[in-house]
Order: sequence, then structure tokens, then C-alpha cells
Amino acid sequence: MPLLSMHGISKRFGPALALQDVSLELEAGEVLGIVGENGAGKSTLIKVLGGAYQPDAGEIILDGEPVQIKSPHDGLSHGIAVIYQELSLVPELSVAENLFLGHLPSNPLGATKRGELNRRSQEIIDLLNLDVKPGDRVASLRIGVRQLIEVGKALSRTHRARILVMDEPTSSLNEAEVAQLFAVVRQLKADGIGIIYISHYLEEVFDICDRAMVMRDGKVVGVRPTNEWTPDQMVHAMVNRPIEDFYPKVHVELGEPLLEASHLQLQGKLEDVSFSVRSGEVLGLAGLPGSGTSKLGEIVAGARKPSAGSMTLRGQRYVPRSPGKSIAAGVGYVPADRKKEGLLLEFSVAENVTLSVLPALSRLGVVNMKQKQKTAVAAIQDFGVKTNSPKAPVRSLSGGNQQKVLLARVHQPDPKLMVMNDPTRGIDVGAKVEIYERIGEFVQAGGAVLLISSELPELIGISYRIAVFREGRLVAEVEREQFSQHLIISYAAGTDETYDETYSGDQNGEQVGESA
Amino acid sequence: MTLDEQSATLPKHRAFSGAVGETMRRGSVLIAFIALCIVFSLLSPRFLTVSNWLNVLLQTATIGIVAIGQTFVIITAGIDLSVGSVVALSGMVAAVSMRAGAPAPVGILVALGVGSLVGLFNGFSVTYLKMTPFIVTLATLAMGRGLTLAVSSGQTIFGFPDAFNFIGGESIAGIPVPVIILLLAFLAAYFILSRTVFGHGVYSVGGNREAARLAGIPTVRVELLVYVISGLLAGLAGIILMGRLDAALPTSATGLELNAIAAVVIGGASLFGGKGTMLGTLLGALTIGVLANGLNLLNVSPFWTQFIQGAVIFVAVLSDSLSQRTAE
Repeated sequence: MPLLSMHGISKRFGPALALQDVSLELEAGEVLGIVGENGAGKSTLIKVLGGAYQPDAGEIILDGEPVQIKSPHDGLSHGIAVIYQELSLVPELSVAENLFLGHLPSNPLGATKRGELNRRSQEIIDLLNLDVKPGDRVASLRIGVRQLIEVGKALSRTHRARILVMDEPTSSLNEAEVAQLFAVVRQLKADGIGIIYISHYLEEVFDICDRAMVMRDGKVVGVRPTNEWTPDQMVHAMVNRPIEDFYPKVHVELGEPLLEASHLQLQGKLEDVSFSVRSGEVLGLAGLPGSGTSKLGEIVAGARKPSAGSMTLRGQRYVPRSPGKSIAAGVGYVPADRKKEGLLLEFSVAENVTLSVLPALSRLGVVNMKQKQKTAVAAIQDFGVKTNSPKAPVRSLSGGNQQKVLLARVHQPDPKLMVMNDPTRGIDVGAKVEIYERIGEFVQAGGAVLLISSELPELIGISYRIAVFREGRLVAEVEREQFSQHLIISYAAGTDETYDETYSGDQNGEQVGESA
Repeated sequence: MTLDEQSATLPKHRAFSGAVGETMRRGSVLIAFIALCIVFSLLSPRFLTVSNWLNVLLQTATIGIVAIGQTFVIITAGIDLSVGSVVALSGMVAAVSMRAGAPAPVGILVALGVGSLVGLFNGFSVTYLKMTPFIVTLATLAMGRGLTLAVSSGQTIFGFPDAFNFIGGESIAGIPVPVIILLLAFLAAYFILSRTVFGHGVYSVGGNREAARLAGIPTVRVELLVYVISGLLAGLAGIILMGRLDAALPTSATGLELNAIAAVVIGGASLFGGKGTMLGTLLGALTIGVLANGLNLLNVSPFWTQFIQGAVIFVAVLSDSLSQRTAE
């Protein structure tokens, strides 16, 4: 008898059918992966399971007994814990207080039992194998550790979780933290907890899940044990198109050097970095977190001043004093965190798309509103942004469409060079492919791209050359013919073998890259 | 839940409720204003007369002009608490210089210059010294008032050239000059905020400062300039106030900043930045003016007038926070 089964679940929001006759089963001690593009219905499904939504049809059976989960609180008392993508920790409180938030052990007068709190917290910390103390303030911890504490919260309940749902748990973790999270998942699995694992990263699904279920348009399109899937089949099932299109290859004759940087220096972050990128070229910048690639991107984009060194752009001296000056000089920048650094979330799509091109749409500082509107509508169409209206706030768009808005904005002033930092982070496969195609068109038209990415398969898939950074130094430039994950990792990590193990989860990703 | 997916499954619903919330909030100032006018005109026969309305507009001119400057600042998520002191200081410095023999045009330029300089100081502290707007302008509020008292030795200064009395007291085609200045300032500010590159910059700085900077908006220049505008308009208000009273009082315009901020907030601007309109601010200032005028006509005790004004501000902010909730 399975621990959990959901039968024929349907859920409708107005005219939109978010879930259509979805069924799944979960055994104790099993990890079930759910993948699908944004809007495929994954999150709606787990909200039904967690009690946040009531299904219109279908039933949920726990241990053979049909149950109704009326609220998230009800879900918890049934032993179903959902860890959402947005962390729900209180930064100002301690680890222990967060772990037991809402059910702190207390005496009849309401005072917290410190001793018991610390003892029980320590048990959970030990279980998670974390290097923190119960009294540490959460604000002082790295984001990856916080994600693990979020898992710990699910284990602290009196009704200890028997089903744990993780929604994109690794989107803000580095490789080492992912490894740590996976160790915890395996531990929980061994303890007989059933785990539902939602991720955009197929490599992770192959690494940690026993079975994988693919959803598309609110329906289940396939469930198989993980070892019976190939990455190709999985992507194909998700987007309904063949994998060959995943990393579109365009043949471009390389032109003149567009940007040349020599001896760039940034106190403690970058050490004597020189490189050049030619028109028509995608130069990948690879490196572990903290290797300096992001800082280098910021310098080229004018967002940060180097402490020494110089650059030329199309043969001219290029000293960007501000992002605005860089844009005027023909350098566009796609920052890594689209919500914090990229978009004005409360503002309309039209406002966002035209933000960087306002000087060109104006005379004597007065904006031509008609032309602005026209530009916005054209850009929205051109970049295939799915929105109800140009006036809709960007916040209401899906992640992939938000990223397209950002890309459209960067394109409007007609840049010659684009600095892109993780341009496909946390977006669905379909939108990823569209962004790769955009990059291809851009370099075909004579542009050049500096691509910073935490995903090696992506770097390998679309770069022409990869510059590898380690601790602020450019340690190697790898030509396309020599591309391999192993080689790049060994440069990035300084041929330390332990790093190869950390990266072992990428083996499947490599297949995706090479089959392209 | 991923926010992405939630919005993907519910785009229509969300966009709809957001749009309705926005329209309701924008309309709510207008509706409240009209409702207020109807109530007062029913209760007092003197309310709906031309002379009373000119009086309301005249009373609103100073606050309105200051609130226009404040709107720029608040949309960038800043605040300018110094405006009341700047009104007094710029008027007083002009008065002192004219008593020493400066002609009226110089006096006017001095007042505008003093206002702009204080604004520049505020803006510089906020942008280059990275100080919190609230604290910076709280400090300049105190410093400005102190300077006013020092410059005047605590005395009221009387007697200015005719040009000043013209600005403060005369009418053109039956409309008081301060009202004309208010309307001109409003039209200019409306145009600047909604049609210029700078105006777009003001909104985007308030929407997300870092994203705006990376998108090429000269955020430092924009922020510096909004404080200068606020100071400049406070200087303008100082000239009007002094012309109206035909005197420069060291204690004039005390607490004016609170009324100006209230006008902006009643007009629908958010103290978190990124939101607000000039039309809203004008309506907000008029609402405050009408309220004071109407309650006065009805012989309501000034104590209760103050209470009711406070309650109106509370309701305005409440409707803001409610609409915020529907948007999320």
C-alpha cells in the first residue's frame, strides 16, 4: 500500500484548467521528482496536497484512508510538510526559535523552556549535519544553510512529517550546499519519509529521485523510474519538442575584437585579468562562486569601477563611469538577480521594456509618449513576452516571461556587447531555449556576448570559447574543440579531486550538452 | 509555491484585481473630495460661493506648492521634513536682504536660492553621504528653523516692496496671484513628472533603485534633483506666504511639512516609493483645504478640526494599504 496516492485531481481557476485528472503515488522512503515548465501545474498540485487549495475533483488517500486536507495547518497535522521556494524563516530569530516557531516548548506560564528547546534543536541540527548552534541568528547564516533549516522545521513538528515536499530547494544554493542537501534527503529517505522533489534542474532529478514524473499543461505526461528516462526524453516530454533544438547552434564568422580588457584589477576580487571578445562571439566565463566572474561582468557593464586596468571597445578607450554611460557606449547588462537588480516589479511591462531607451525616445528631455508606446508593443511582440497587456505589472508574469522583459529592455538601446549573468536562472526549459535563440541571433548580427553562468552545460552549449576563473584570476581559456566539463572543472577548482566529486551530479547534464 | 507558477496559472485574476484596486484608489481621492464638497454645500450656504472657493484656493496655495515638491521626493521613496523650516528661512533671508536695500527681484531670487541650497544639501547628504532622508531632513528642519531665528534675531520683519505685496495679495482677472502660481507650478510639475526622462527616472528610482541604476538611469542625479526641486518650491511658497502676511515671521510655516506630506499621501502616493501623481497631490491638498474651510464655516471647534484632519489621513493610508494587499 503506498504512503500517499492522489487520484484524478482536477483544479480550475476561472476558465483556466490548472490540473486535469492528475494522479500520483508515493511510497514511504521514496523520492519522486516532478518536472515541467512553469505553468505545467506542479505548484498547484503541491498546494492541493499541502491544503492551500481544495481540488475540484479527485481524492487524496493517506495510508489507504481517504482524507480531506482543508488547510495548510490540516496538512501539517496529517504529516505533510511543504517547503516553499520563498523561505519562511524569521532572520532576526535564532535557529532554535525558527525551528520551533509556532510551537515553542513552553511551561504553563508561557515562558519558553530554553533547555528543552536547545536540546531538541540540537537533535535536528545533528540530523541535518549542520555546522550551526541553536542560538545562532538566522540572519548570519548563508542562504544554503537557511534552506536546510527550512527542512529542519518540517521535522520539528509534533506530528513529524511523513511526506516532505520540496519546491525548487536548490535554486539559491551552491554546489557544496546542494551536496549537503542531498545527503539530508538520502538520510530522510532512509528514515522512511516519502519525498516529492520539484526542480528545474534535470541533473538533480536524475541524481536524487527514484522516479520522475513529467507534467505539461496541467496533465501528467509520463512517470517512470529515473533510470528509465534519458534527459532527452524528459526534456522532450516537458516541452514537446526534440532535444536537438535545446542549444541552438549558429555558425558565425568571427569579426574584429569588440572588447579588449587588459590587466583589470579589483581589490581582493580580481587579479590582472586580460581578455578580448570578438564580434560574433559568445565568450563564456566559468568559475566557482566567488571566482570573480560576476565582478568582472559588473566592471564591463559599468556597475563597478576596477581599481586598475583598462578596456577598449571597438578600438576606442572604454572607461565606463556608470551603467548609463555603458549603455550609451553600446554595452548591455543582464544582471543575475532579475527581481532585485533587473526589473521594476510593480511597474508595467511597457515601462520596464523602455526604461533603458528613454533618452533615444525623447527630445530635450521630453519623452515622446506615442513612440514609447509603439516601442514597447513592438518589443513585447518581438521577444514573445506573454502578457495580458503592456500595462500589466511585471510581477504578474511568469519567471521566463520576466526574463524576456529584461532581455527586451537590454536590447532596446541596440547594444553591441551584452554582459549576461545567469540569464536562464530558474526559468523553464521553453523560455531557456528562446533566450539561447536570442543570443544566437544577437551574435549573428555582429554582436558579442560575455556569458556568466553557474550551469556548465549551458556554458558549453552556447559559448565559443570559455575563460575559466579561479580566485580572481583567469586561469585558462578553453577553445570549443576542447570543451569538456571535466577539463573546465579541473581548471576552475585547481585540479583538486574533491571538487570532481562535488560536481559529479553534472554527468547527466553533460549528456544533455553533448547530444545537442 | 513558486511565485512564477502561481502567476502563470492566475494571470488574469491577478492583473484584474490589481487594476481595479489601482483605479479605485486613484478615483477614491476624487470621490472623497466631491463627497466632501457635496456635504459642505448642503450644510452651509456659503460654501459653494465664488468668494469662498477663491479663499479655499488661496489657503491651499502654500501647502499645495510645497506638496508638489514633496511629491517628487516621496515617489523616490524619500521624504523631506525640512520644507516648513525652508519656507520660513527663505522668506526671512529675503526679508532681511530687502531691508538692507535689495530690490524685490533680488529678494525673490534670494528666497528661491536659499530654498534650492537647502535642497541641495539634503540631496547631497542622501546621495553622496548615503544618509537616511528622514534623519537628514529632520536635521535640516531643526537647523533651518534655528537659522531663521538667528537671522531675524527672533523678530518679525515688516514692510516689503510692492512687488511682494502683489505676489501675496493681488489678483489677476479676479484670481489671486498665489492661486495662479499654484496652478502654473502644478502644470509644470505634472508635465515634468509624467512626460520627461527625469520624471520616468523619479518613478524608477522609487520602484527599484538598484535596477534603475543598472538600467542606465542616473539615479544619483535624479535623487539630488528631487530634493532641490522640493527646496526650490518651498522657497517659492516662502515668498507667497510672506507677501500674503506682508511680514516675515520666524515661526511661520511651523508644521507645514506634515500637511504637505498628508496632501501627497491622501493623493495616493506611497511612502514606499514608485507611486503617486501630481493630480492626486493637488486633490489631496484641496481636500485638506476644503476640510478646514468647511469645518470652519460650520463653526466646528478647531480642536475637532484637527482630529478630523488626522482621521482623513488615516483613512487615506488605510485605503493605500488595502489596495496594496489586493495587488499582492
